Amino acid sequence: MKKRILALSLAAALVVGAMASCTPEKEPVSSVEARDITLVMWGSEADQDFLKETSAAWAKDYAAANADVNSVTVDVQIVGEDQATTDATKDLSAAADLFGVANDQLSTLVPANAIYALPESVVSDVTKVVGESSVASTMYDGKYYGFPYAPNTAEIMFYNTSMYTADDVKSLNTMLEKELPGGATNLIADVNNAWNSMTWFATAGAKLFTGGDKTVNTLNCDEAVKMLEWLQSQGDSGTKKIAQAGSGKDDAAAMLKDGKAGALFFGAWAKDAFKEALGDNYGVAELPTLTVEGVCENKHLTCFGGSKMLVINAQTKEPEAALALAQYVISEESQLKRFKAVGQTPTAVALATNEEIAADPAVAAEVAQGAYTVVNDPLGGTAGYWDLEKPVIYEIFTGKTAAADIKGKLDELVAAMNKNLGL
Amino acid sequence: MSKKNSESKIKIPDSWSTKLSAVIFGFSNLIHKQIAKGVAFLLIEVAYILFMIMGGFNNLVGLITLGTKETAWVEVPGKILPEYQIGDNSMLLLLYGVLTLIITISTIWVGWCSLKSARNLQMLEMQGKKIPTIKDDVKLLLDEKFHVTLLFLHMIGILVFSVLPLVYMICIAFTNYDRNHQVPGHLFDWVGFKNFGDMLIGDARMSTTFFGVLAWTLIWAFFATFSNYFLGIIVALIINQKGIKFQKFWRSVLVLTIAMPQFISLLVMRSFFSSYGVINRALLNMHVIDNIQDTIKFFEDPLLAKIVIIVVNMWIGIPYTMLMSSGILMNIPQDLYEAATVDGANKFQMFFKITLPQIIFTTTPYLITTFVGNINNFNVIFLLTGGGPETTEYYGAGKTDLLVTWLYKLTKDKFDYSLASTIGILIFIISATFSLLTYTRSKSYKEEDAFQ
Repeated sequence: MKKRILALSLAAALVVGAMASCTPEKEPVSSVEARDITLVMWGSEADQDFLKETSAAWAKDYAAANADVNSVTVDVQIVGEDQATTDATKDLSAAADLFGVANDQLSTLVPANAIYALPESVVSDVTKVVGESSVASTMYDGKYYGFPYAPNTAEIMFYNTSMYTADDVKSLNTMLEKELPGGATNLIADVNNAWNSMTWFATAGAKLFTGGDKTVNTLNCDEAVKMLEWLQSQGDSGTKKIAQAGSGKDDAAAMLKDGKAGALFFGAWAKDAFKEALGDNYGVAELPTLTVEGVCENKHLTCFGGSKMLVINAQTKEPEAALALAQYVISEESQLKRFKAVGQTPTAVALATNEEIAADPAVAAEVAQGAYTVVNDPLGGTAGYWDLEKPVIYEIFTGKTAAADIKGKLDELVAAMNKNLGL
Repeated sequence: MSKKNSESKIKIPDSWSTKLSAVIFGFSNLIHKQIAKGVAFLLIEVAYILFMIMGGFNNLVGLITLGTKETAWVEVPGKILPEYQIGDNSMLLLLYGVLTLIITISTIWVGWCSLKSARNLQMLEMQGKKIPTIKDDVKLLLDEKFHVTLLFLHMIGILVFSVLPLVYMICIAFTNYDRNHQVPGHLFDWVGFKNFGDMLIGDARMSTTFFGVLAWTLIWAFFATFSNYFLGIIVALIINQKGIKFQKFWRSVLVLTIAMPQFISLLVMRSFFSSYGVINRALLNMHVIDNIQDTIKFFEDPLLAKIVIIVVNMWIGIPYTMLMSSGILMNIPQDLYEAATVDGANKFQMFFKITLPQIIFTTTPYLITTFVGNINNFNVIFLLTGGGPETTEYYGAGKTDLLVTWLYKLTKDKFDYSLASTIGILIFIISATFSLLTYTRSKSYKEEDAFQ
């Protein structure tokens, strides 16, 4: 027995000695061994090529710039922004180091402690690139969490150039006064949709959790009540100048195509369908201004805005490398490349005046509308805004709720949301 | 038979080796020279004890506490980002705890087997019979007890892939695993029957939703089942009438709807009925309605949406009932009708006295399964209306949501897993009670042999 232990320890000593004598020859300078880093990044299917190229370019630079890094591999996988939150919270340790999500997902990701909050120095760097309003959309509970790379589809206006001139579409009041050929409805809007119908509240100046503050919910303010009274007076039970845009994108496109409507408010994401529907009469612009007595005067219609952003997995083994990659992906140059590759509207402030980007009228309109947005705060999801607001505003719009009951309905709406937040 | 019974009734005091077998599995087998069997029993016990020491015991503690340490961030000097310290994961603790529980129960069962085997050996010894060798046991398993051999793997499979997840899911209904207690950032804990209480009486909005959705679920299941059933029978009767030409052709035409995958027909129907869909556009072109404000809002009015769902479901479901009742109709002996004609019965009498009883007798079990299936009919609702129109009265559900689509929304959009699990259990209770009550009262169950 003793003999065996002796033999074993001798053998061990031999192996250790051999290894020890080998190491210095290979790496004479650094005392710390250089690591091989592997990062996994999730992105939508359309973004794959762009992300692969960009991350490969970054990987080379990063390995060259850091002495303790031997090589960097970035594995880009297909998990879209709509799926990433579900997949990540299921098993964080198996999720990507970096993934893209819409900003309202923060209400799920932050309470689950699933992602890194960004330190102030990083936030100020990001702000320099994408501007205050984009960064504001990455805030939750007073902290900032993401690297915004795309505005989340602001609402813009599509119109028929044979019915409206470019001057007409500057003011909604002008548009509504015009008699259109063939009895076409002046405007169709997706009121039966919590995202797009926020426009009417936001333009009236009603606030929904501005700055991530639970207590700021003024959807039932006097201006909002007056605005909805006006909206109702233009709707099905009133002058019929404004109509619901059917059950979504396909219906709206068909209405424009058939000449049943002169203009449409809709998310910029669906621009291709409307371009095809309107053909030569395709016109697109930012939302017009509106004057409603006692509410607003020549005010630009303001819509929900948000962003899609990269976030860093809390359980990543390489947080610093992930941080560096995220900053690279949202840099001005990368965003320009992204626009050229997939037509993604950029968030970088410097690119707003870029000629190539202004060449696409829909993207230009989206960028212009970006100035008139309110942040879609993640708290909205927690408060149940998406389920609750839609039936309320739609019943008001169609006249199912009498004008006198609007205030009461909005009070109920706010009360129900407060209850969901535990207030 | 009687001998066996009397034998087991005699109380024999357990010998010391039998008693010891309760603590040391397989002890009695070993001293009776059943080495292989004894070692197998012993190995299972040793493996279990090792497993419990290596982590099994902690799993059981975890099952009770569901975790105590929350995840936290720790600042590291000199680094830009703080470090993430992983806390307990309640979900995994629950899963491993349930697994350990099942392993423990299985081991106790093995111990019981060992004890039974020991008593058996004691008996054989007293009666002076031969102790079976391993060869005899294997022979027995391949011959007399072959069913045990065959079922063994299946039982293991069912235990791991069915029972374990099921117990785990049921357990979630008794925790507060909802959107405010998401793993891995937060812990969740046992709350007993609170979810059931909230759902049924405690929380006003929740119980309004539950009973509202339940009422529509039952109405839907009733209409969906019986409309398809009776209309299917009527169509089959018409096609089977004497004198109808091209019977096979008509039958095939109707069956064509089955050839199209259901979800495609449903999505097509959805765009048909949308507020600027084919139907509304046709009405506009025919000048039945004048402008786009007056289109019929099939999916935005709760009552209209419900009617559309039931009608569309008929279109999808009737061919199935038609096919089935055609089969039954063709099997009813013609002499019954001839005899009835001789007796002077008219067509209605023949239908109600001969045809209908025959069909109902054969199809009662089918009716019950269809009804329960319709309670859980996810496709039609989800693809046609998505549960809409939404309402402020309900929590997370629309006016046409069934319990099962509501459950889906709670899981997918709201992350309220505990509520979803509670609903799942309630759905099971409702459908199981209903099926058992109706099935055991049906003629097909009571008079199983009556049909020729």
